[in-house]
Amino acid sequence: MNQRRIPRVGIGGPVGSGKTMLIERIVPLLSEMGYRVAIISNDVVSKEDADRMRKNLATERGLVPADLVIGVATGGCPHTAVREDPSMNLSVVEELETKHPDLDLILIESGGDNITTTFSPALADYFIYIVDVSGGDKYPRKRGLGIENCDLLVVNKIDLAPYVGADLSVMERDARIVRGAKPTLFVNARTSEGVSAVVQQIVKNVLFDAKPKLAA
Amino acid sequence: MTTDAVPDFEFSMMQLADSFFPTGMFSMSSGLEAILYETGRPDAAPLRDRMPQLLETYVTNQLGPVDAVLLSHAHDRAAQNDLGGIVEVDQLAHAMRTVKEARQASARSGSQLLRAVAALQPPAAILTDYIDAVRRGDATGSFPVALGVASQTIGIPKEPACVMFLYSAAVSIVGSALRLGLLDHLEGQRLIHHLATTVRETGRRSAGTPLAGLWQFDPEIQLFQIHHERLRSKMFLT
Repeated sequence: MNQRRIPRVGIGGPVGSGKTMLIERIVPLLSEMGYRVAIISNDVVSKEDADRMRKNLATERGLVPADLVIGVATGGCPHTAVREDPSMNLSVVEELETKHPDLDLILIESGGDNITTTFSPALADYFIYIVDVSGGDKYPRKRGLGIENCDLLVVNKIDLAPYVGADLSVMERDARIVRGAKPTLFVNARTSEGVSAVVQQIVKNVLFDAKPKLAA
Repeated sequence: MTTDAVPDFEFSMMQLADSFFPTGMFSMSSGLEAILYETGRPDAAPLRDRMPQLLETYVTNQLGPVDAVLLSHAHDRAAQNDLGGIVEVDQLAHAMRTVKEARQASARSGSQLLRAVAALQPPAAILTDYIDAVRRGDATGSFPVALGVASQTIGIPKEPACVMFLYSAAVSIVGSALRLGLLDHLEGQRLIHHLATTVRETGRRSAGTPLAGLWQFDPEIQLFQIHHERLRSKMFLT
């Protein structure tokens, strides 16, 4: 077993569902608790998400060293980059593990549609899938690998539900039918509503309530 | 039905040359993305017409006389269980990649290739030694060197290994052309089909070239590979 292995959370979801903003809300809460986090962002085009997180979390707030926000280009195939062939992501993870063994957590973001997105278990220990309500409350019912397989389903932009005719209780009911006992959380990442519950899931199920390495 | 535990080298070639084999090659365009953005917009037709010549130049003037030659020497050193020799070729390969993103991508895909091949069967000692050298930072895991060592340890002879590499690299470039919208799927396959003789002859030549005979002349491609590093918006690592 690799003693240096740092726990990894894969965060997947369709373009525009709020992956980057969720990370921007999660990291400050983890940072307040003393956890040191690195972020790998798999972009379909450009490194815009990585650049944005570097600016918001590193440059302006100093929560993450700038070199710990890393963008990975995926050749237009984000699904491949996190599932069939996670080579490039694994290389970046191993570089982080070697250079920054005191990290507590690595967040790996990747765009990907609901039907086919999953993370290779070789890459991510825990898989969060995020959707937003604007696709309609049918989303969980329609199933798909992302919604069915993820460890935690996050439904974002709940403030928009009344405007798009999405019934959150229907989404919750259908998610329970499709996902059984696996949790589903409802958030508004823009205002941080519900985000602390996501952090609690990560601390409990990924970090197993361990103290931050630098505090231990 | 055969019950041999170890596949013959032709099967191993097919496995390693398959784009399904996890080395991250799908995420590289070898500078083609920059060529498209800077010469193929708004009209990509002239660039599409140039693709056969461009692909041939990649193979004959860059991938063959540099990468495949390095591969063949890494193969030789692996056959001699010469870790020091492999590390020398590895460092040369790294030094000859003048573009940082290409150097980094090659090291990342090469080190993952080593890991993938080591997982196929109990790895040869020289493969494990090279992986350890990469882990320690004594070597970079540059892709052609990694492929040379990996090929030798699973029984793929040197010349077929060079041909396999050139084929895979050409397919990777054609694949990026498809995803960039430059070619359709049939045009891509036709390009690969017509490259057969070039790939085979370049592979044969590379396998017999001394290390002192490394050369490269593709200034246009190299300039665009440098430009790619500075692109603000891109899909590919290289």
